[in-house]
Amino acid sequence: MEHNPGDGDVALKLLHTADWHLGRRFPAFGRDQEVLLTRARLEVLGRILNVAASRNVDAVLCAGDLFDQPSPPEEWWRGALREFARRDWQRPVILLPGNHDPLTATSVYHPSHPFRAGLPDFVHVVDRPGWQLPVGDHAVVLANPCTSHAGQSNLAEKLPPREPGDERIRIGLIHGQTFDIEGHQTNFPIARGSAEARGLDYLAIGDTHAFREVEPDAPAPTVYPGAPEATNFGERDTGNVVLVFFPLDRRRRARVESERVGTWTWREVHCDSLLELKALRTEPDLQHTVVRLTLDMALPMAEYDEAERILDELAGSDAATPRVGVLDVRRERLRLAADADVALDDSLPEVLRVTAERLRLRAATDETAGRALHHLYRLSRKLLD
Amino acid sequence: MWIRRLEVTHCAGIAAASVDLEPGLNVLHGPNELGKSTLAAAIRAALLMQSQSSAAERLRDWHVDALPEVTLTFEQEPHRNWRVRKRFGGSGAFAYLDFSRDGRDFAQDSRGREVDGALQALLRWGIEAPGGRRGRRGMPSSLITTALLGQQEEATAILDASLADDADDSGKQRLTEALQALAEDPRFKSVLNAVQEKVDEAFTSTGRRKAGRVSPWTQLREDRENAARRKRDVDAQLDESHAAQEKISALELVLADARDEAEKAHTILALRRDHERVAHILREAEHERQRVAAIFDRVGDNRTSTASATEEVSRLEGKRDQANSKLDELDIRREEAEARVRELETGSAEQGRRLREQELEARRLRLEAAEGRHRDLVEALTSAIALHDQISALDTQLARKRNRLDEEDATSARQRDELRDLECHRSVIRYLAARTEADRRRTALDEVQAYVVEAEKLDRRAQEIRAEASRFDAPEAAEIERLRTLRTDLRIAKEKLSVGIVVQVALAEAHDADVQADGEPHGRALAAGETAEFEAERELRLAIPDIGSIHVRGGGRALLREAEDAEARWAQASHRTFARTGCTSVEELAELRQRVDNLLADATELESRASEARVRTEGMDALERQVIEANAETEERASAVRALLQDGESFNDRIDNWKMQVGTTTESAVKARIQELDQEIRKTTERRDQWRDEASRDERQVAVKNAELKPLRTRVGGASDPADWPRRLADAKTAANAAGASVAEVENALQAIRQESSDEVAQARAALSDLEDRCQSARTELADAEGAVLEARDRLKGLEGEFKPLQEAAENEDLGKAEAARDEAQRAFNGLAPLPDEARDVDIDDLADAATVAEHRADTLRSELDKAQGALEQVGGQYLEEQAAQVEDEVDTLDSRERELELDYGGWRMLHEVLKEAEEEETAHLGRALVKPVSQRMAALTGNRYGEVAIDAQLNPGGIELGGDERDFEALSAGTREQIALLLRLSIAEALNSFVILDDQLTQSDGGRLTWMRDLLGQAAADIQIIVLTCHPDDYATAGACHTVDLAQCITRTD
Repeated sequence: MEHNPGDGDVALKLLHTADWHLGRRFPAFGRDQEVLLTRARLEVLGRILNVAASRNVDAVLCAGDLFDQPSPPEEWWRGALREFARRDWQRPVILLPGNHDPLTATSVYHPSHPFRAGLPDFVHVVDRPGWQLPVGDHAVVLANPCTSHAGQSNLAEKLPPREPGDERIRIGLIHGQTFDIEGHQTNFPIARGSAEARGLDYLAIGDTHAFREVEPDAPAPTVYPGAPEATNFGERDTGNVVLVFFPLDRRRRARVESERVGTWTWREVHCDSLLELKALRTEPDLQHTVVRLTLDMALPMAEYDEAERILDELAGSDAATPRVGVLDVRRERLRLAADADVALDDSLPEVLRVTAERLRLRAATDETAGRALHHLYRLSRKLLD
Repeated sequence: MWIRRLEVTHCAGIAAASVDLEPGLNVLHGPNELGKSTLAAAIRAALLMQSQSSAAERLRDWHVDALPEVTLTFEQEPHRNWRVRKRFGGSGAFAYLDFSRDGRDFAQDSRGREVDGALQALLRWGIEAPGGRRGRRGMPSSLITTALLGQQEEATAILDASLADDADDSGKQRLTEALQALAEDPRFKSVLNAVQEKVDEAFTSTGRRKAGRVSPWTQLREDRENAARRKRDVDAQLDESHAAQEKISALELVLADARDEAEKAHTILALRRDHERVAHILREAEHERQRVAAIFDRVGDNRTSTASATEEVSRLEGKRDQANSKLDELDIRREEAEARVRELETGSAEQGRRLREQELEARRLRLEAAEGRHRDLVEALTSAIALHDQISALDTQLARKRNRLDEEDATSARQRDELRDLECHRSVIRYLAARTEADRRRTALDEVQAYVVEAEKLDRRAQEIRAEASRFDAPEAAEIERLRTLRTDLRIAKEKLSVGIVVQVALAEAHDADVQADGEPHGRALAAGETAEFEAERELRLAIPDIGSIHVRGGGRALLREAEDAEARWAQASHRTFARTGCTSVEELAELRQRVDNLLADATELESRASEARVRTEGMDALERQVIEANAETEERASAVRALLQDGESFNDRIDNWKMQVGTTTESAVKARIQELDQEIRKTTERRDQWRDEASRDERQVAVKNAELKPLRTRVGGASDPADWPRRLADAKTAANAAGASVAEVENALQAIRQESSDEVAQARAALSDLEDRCQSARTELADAEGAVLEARDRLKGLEGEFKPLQEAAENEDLGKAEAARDEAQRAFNGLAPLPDEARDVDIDDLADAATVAEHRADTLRSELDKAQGALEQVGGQYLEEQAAQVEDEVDTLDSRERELELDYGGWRMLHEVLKEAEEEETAHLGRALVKPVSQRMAALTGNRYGEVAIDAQLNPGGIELGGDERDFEALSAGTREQIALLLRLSIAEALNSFVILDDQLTQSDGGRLTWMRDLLGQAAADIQIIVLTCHPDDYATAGACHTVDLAQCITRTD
């Protein structure tokens, strides 16, 4: 069983994060919903820094793709600056340019950019190959930045090896991909065993959005902390930062803990029946969930109408708060049953009943007619109410 | 719609009339001939007749010389008031249509011929607008005008009217809408309205998707356009990325091939060089081996010769010793014989004979010595001449070979000169090719640099234009439009003040007055007691010094405030803009805007062109490098040419010389000739080497012969001329023969003397002589042997003399080593990979060039690959794939949303269409909507005597049910027809919510029906305006609240 050292046994404590993707846009959703998701990325930065403070870490390592693009709109880097400015820290925060926000002449990391110029002293930018920063007297962070969106160089290989007699805790910080399948085109590939080969005690990397310890059995951990907020459907193990504890006993391996900071969950839901849709409506805590809801069912008119009402409830309206934080409904396969009985009440005007019958006849082959029939059905119900 | 006011002047006997009307029932009464029907005609004329129509003649008042004028004010619907002003006939005709919200302040909407078009558009009565297909003549009419404006004499005309006779569909459409509305169930109406509202959200009246901020398509369209733009951008970058990746893949393949090719070329070159080097080593080793072997052969030969010579010397010395021993024995025997002879010849005669004999003997000896010398000389000369002849023959042969050698040398030199010349040619060709390539690349670079300059120039120009545009500080189009609106508001506000002002001023004393009418200054002298009249449209200022001033303004306070507000808004809005731009009017601002827009468009165009030019500059760095490389190569080729120039020949001469040959000689021909020449040179060299070897061999033979000749020369006299040798040989032979003859004579003499001795003596002497002969022979033999020994010793000594240097030379040589080296070289040569066919007969320089070119190509491809990889790194590779997936997802979502929106609003539109379709089918028969109200009223009027009125789809009434049968109207009484007609007109007016004019109607009705009708009119007047023109106002006295107008108070008759 692994020994979990308490603070008294710990020589060094780090917070490792990556892939904030500040400024990432979600134009596929509605304006308001896009703002929710985009702002979530900035809000999680505040929570990350709060964790760093509450856990009293010695340094914060940010392993690339902190911005979604090299030169994001001002509100995002201003927002980041505001979060840093709220802290009166001595502990270093190290920002590493990734492949989404590579170090270029026009990027936020360039000395001429107001973001870089506005960073407080405790925030450091990895702005050259072979970058180093001592953390205390017994540790050093070694880093190489991405300088382009794509590349085939192994940035880990360019970290200096441990010199004889160097007893410091050596932490590598790079951005890239560790999967090395034959014939697969990787971006900034990181070879297995890099941490050990470069004499590192911990290799902090970023790019993959899922939390993952790449080589659990290796002497030195190589870890992806994952994105603190998910950016798309299908991403797993997101919403975390990593806390790294280096024992005083240098013979022991650094211990890695993940801590949740994200608030949003992304789900893809497929409903084949009204029952499933009803079940979704009853689920709690959908307020911070992005749901892509695909409906695939043919319903009689009354149930079809109920499905529509449930969708209205989930999506919300000007008068009602949405049940789901962000909802993307794929309803092309929600249709009226071909044999749906939609005869209107006899008390309604003849012209409406004639209209309903005509639409019903067309609805079997014309989806638009089915929708028109449903509109008429709803309006007729209002008349009867 | 109801009529507010009617004003008439100079119209069919009416000098002037002014009637104000009210909503509801208006009873306009007056005596006959007062002009009631003229008023009805005036209303028709105002609404239907063009001002210049000849039909207006009927309105003309022939008692006055003035044109009839009608002003009709009516309210179409609340806050929409119209005023029609028309003067009919002749050149003084006019027409105005004014609009007002409050019914008081009107603004002109249209004038002239436009008025009638505008009126028909707003009334929609089925009257064709002026200029229509049917062409309007006189007073137009339609079913609606017949219903609403029916004339007195045509009380039942509506029964014959039909929508089918209308000139225009507008009447039918309006009636259809109105009657549909009449027939509609309110629940249906509410559904239809709700559906219409949804349809209107998304579609225009023409069924197209709605634009604008509130349209549901707008945001989606913007989102889709943005997504499509992003997709295009990403796709373009992705294409670029894929192209870069493909280029990289292709370059990697090509680079691998190029590397293989370069490696192969280098391998072939190295192999060829190895072949050449090893072959050279082999040749050198063979030469060395042969040289060393020759030395050893010579040592061996020397040793063999020395051994032979030593054996010969030994043999000859043995022979000499034998000869010497034999001579010694013979000398002893001869001395014994001499002693015997002396013993026998001891007398004086004997002594005299002996003396003579001794003398003769001495002489004979001398003669024999001389003969020996001569014989020796003959022999030496004979040998010398023979040797000399051989040497001469060899010399001749040697000279001939040297001549051949010289000829081959000359041939070789000539061939080498030609080869050098050809190589120079080939270098020139390569130089010119390199220079052409360099020129081509330089030209390409110049073009690209020209594009750079062009792009910079265009950018500068675009910046200048933008700077120029920004200097204008032109307002935006929206601002100009706002100013235009404010100016229009101001103009309208001022126009409202244009009510016309006339001020009359009468002064007791004469004064000058300053007058400003509508801002235009005038001076005017006012005479005492004169009533001066001043006129203006909206504002008049009158200043009379010492008296005072008068300021008159048109319009009420509200209009003035409105105008002032409009002025203030205009001033506030325009002042800053005009001050900023230097413009003085909105038109100037618009022109300025247009000018700036044109400039900006020009700038954009220039920037686009600059961008295009810049695109063409891509790859300039590579071009510059290529130019440098091409220049370097050109210089290198030029150096190669210079190295091959002949003495005194200039580089340019050589180039010019070559250029003159271009067209007659090709590089391939030169190359072929070089190869051919190489073969010839090789053959020439072989022949030359052969001649040289033979000449050397001959030289060596000559040397040997000369060596042999040298002692003979000594023997024949070193300084003698060989040419003299034959003569000397003949002389020597002669001398020898003479000496021989003398010897024979002496011997004969001796013989004779000796004949004188005794037999014993003779025998002794013969024995002595024999012994002496034998001694002599032995001595000769000894001398010969000694000579042979000496000669052999000389030869031995010569060989021994030669042996030492040979031995020393051989001691310094190692034949085994030379052979081992030759064998090693041979093995190395045999061990070499065989040369491929293409490398066999190719010049090694060409192979080197090919390897260099292949290497250069590989380097160039490597550079291109680096650039492509660099480009890929910049565009993004997998980063772009992520972006593409993201935007793809976005487009997918937006597509889904658009499909949903199309389906939803498509559903609303289809519902609307089907609803309308069902509704129209229900109400297409317009008559059905009127059957019920008309029939019910008729039944009520007649106590249910009459049943349902038949009204067809075109609203043409066909008859009425009476007693279960349908009766034609013709079969009814005039009063009944009149009543049915009025009920129908009233129903149409109700459906249209319009006024209706009843000009002296119901004249054929009895009191009961008249009362019933009067009550009906009172009820109907709650909803519509009914204007009754009658001379019996009492018939309507109990019709409820009604507005009664005594026309006698309103009308001034001309007569």
